[in-house]
Amino acid sequence: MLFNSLGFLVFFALVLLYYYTPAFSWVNKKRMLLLTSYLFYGLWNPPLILLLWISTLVDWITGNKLAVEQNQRKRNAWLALSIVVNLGFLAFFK
Amino acid sequence: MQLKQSLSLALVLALLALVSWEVYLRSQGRVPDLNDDKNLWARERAKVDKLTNEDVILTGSSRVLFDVQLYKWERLTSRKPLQLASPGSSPLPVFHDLVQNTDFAGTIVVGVTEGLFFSTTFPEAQPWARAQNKVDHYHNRTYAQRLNFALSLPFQKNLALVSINEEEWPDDTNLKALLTRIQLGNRSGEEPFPPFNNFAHADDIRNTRMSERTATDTAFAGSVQRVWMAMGRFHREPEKEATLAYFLEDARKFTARGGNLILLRCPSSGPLAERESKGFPRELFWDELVNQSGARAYHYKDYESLSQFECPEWSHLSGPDADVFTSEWVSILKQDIALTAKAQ
Repeated sequence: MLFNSLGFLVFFALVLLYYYTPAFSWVNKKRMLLLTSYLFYGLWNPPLILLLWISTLVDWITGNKLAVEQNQRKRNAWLALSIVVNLGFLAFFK
Repeated sequence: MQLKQSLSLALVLALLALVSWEVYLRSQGRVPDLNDDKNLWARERAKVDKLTNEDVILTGSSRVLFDVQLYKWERLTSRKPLQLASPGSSPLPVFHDLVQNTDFAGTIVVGVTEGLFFSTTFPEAQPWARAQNKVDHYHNRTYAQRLNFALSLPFQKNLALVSINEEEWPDDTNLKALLTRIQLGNRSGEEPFPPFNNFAHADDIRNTRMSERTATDTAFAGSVQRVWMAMGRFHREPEKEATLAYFLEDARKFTARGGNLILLRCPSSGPLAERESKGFPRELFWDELVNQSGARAYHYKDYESLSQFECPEWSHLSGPDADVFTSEWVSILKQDIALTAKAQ
């Protein structure tokens, strides 16, 4: 979806509306942003949402591990994994 | 910082500017006009899967678009044909797509304008690329593109300021067209190509009618005639053998599955018609196509009722004449029981 398109204008307005609506808790706002991110990406090419899921999964696991891991070498390894996966996607597709 | 006030002021100014521009365009006689682009074409192409063997698909170039009026056809046959003709294009890529990528076995009308039909099979050549671009868009369009198109329709239908066309007419209302209209003098010394202004309106099922101005204002129609004659400068030798072979293969496949193929040669007039008959002698092009394809074929010159028209800009019929042409042709088709697919 292009940022200068009508579709994005409507999409952005709706997400903004949902984000500021008091009905959502902070956690649900984050969930909503995650889902709308998938939707944003999927509107271009649905099968490629898989990439976003992989990125989400790797970063989620990395974040959790970094929060508890004390061993510096292991911490670096988790960080490296996350960077390689995310930059790898970028390098491959861009 | 007073961001809310700034935002409100910006919105009010933007709205005022848009309203002023719209009012100015309306005062100049401009009206909202639908962009007959690849998005609209793709939306019609998507309907093919729901068609039955009793349905009719129109393919070809602009003459089929202008000359076959969908609402008139519907009144006469109780079925609205699907308009998939593409202006300035070879009909071969669209016909190929319908034959290879669908199981449609109803009636396909292929409009034959010899200069386009026999032009080329080279994918980069304009007559081919223009049609192939539409076909490719149908197969590759994203959900975001579909959404943008659906959201743009109400604006296209109601605002003259978004009267922008894929053809990039110099009388469009976008910035690019405004810049095109600035005359900076001829520095190259070459004869400039005459301005090619929009001379038709399409609706959301791609029913296309020549504009009233083209039909009644001879000076404006003359500007389009000059374009047709100037296009003669870019004349390339037709690729008769290659185009014929390509089409015949698809035609055989389509008729083998029970499809009903109809060829149509729409009227042309004046010096353009003369140029066409000299450049594409009937016995060498049309007759050979008809003989080799074995399809039902209708050349306007073979029927008194179809050859009574004068094209205002030599290539297409005016709206009222297109109604009569459609009506006369449909009655001939009915007489010939030509709208019945073998697969029925």
